[in-house]
Amino acid sequence: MLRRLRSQKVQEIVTAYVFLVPAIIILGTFVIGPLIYAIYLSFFDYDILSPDTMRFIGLGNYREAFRDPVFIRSVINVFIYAAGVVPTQMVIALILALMVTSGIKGQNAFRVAYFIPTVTSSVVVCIMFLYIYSRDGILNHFLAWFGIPPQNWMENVYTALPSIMLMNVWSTVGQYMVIFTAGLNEIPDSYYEAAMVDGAGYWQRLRYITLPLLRPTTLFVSIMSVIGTLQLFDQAYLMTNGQGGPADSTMTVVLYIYKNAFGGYFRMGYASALATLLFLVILLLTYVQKRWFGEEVQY
Amino acid sequence: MRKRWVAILSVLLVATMVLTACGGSKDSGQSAGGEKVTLRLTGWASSPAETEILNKLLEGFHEKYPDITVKYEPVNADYDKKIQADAVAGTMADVFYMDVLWAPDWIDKGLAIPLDDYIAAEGVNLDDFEPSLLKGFQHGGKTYGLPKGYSTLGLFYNKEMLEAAGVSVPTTWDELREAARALTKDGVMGLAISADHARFVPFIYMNGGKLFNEDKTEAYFNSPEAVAAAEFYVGLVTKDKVAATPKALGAEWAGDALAKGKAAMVLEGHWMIPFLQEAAPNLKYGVAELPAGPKGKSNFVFTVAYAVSKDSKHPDAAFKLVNYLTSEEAQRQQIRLGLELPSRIAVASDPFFDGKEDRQALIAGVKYAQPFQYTKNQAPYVDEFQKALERMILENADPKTELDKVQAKFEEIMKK
Repeated sequence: MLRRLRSQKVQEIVTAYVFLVPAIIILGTFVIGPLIYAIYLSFFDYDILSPDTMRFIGLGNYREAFRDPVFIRSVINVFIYAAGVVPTQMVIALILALMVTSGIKGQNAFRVAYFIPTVTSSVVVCIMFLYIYSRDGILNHFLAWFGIPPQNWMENVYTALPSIMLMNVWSTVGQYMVIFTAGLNEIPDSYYEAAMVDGAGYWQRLRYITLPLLRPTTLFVSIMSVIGTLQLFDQAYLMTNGQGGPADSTMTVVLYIYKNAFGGYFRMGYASALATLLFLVILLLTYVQKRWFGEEVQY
Repeated sequence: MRKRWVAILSVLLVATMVLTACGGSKDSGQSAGGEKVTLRLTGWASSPAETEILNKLLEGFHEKYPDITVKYEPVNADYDKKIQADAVAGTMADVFYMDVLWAPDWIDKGLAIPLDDYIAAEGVNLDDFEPSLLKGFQHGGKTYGLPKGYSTLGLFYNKEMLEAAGVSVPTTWDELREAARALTKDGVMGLAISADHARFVPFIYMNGGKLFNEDKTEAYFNSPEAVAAAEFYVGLVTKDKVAATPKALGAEWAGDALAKGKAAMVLEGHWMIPFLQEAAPNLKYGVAELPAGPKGKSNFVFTVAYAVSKDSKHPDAAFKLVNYLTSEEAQRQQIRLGLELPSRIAVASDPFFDGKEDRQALIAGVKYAQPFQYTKNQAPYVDEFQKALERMILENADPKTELDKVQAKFEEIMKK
């Protein structure tokens, strides 16, 4: 009896692994394998075009990273970027979500409208915003009504990064709105009914029911948003012709990694080291956020 | 029993997935025996017109060499990244475009093979090519590519604006500044200049400076001549206020500023001619040689060569293609398309250029031009150079301090 049970269990495990094989092969080949290999490469001086010159240099790449002014600048840039974008994005996404779940007329139309930027290709969004931000663009026309002289948004070291931040908020807020909407729909109506019976007003219901029960969603959104902003690449690349300019003001970590790996610097090992550092930073931040928002999560 | 079926089925499923993933694409078209050969040709297509003329030339090639079939595979963005990825994978096209800026790196990494034996076998006379172009693709006494065409920089100006302001075409730095000053009025800027090393470097040479020593082991980015050149170039924007960057004028690039009538003069190349035909067909413009500096004339020449890749299995056939595409008859066809100037000296005197003053000014520049080229591993310090110019022009940074940084970066890279 016992033996039969055991053999059945073994068989179940074998079957489970057989089912997992496709996922393991695909993830192993395209995700986990390259990840481990990148960490391995980060200890080498390595150029993909002349592999014969590959040379083990220990922590040399990491030591260089901490002295590299462009890398340091790029880290500062993405942190400024995250600090500006993440809270703004979350607050706006939450307000939009509250609006589109409040039962106002045509709420589906609003949902679609807010979500459209998210499904628009970022190339299209960037080209559109390049027009908006250009010297003769809509933004300067609009500001002219208030007597503000035209600015050269993308060619000014002080405004280039904030311009990309604004664009990013606009283009991704819809995605987080949808996630918040899903979270809001999960909160049972009975809580609100009970609170209303007790005489709680709108703000009280928001403060004591909606926000606490939305915590798992908020955690998810903040983690995704922080990861997304620290890994900023496409918009910085497209808005600045792949340069991160003017004068490194929009250089991001991933853009710098790309330049080192493929942009003519021929430094795959160094790029791998920078990627590993970024990975560690994101891992740490995700852990911290989980500790902050994660306590007393009620599912 | 049923479980076993499930297990067998899933194994089969996995097997099919793996097999379909691994099967397929095998390089075809290379039949053995050395009779019929298929070559791949890659490059970027600057316009549909370029693809069209290239296809026409390839038909002519196939008529001449019926055993060689050519597959043209244009790449329209991030060409250098694509080439590098192909090089790593060992799947480079037989014949590829090699930009003069990238040539030192690509030759150093062995992407292009030396062509000297094939040049001798086909009887190509290298003296027929413009020497300042060919120089960019030669290294250690060997030739790695044949230039397909080129462009230098010229001073493109709006004729009507110059006439209205009573200004003659500037031929020296001082005249350039004064002309720009006279032209800066009524919302028009005298000159649109980019914070771009590809426009600035000739000014260093015009001022008696240079970038490198003969074997390119030393650089002189922060020489007094270079600093003074930067002070002049940047000063046109920051001090004299007679020039502005294209973006500050609401244009995408300098050529766009001229087309939109926002700048009276720009420093651009041959690519302006087809661009202006499209963007501003009614604009009356002229082209002059770049104004001479205190120590004479200089220019930058932008050129691209056809090269044969390390992965080519038929380098002799590939060189036949290179030779055909850079031949005199091919170039006589290509110049009529108006995309670039011919790399062969004989073709530059083709009747097509008679009376075309705009192109003549650009052709004149090639005689004293420097190739648009630095050294191998140039990208990190050229990026620094680019940023230095941006800081000087956009933030009014001190030229000496900024060029010192470029020099330091160069020395750091060269030490590695």
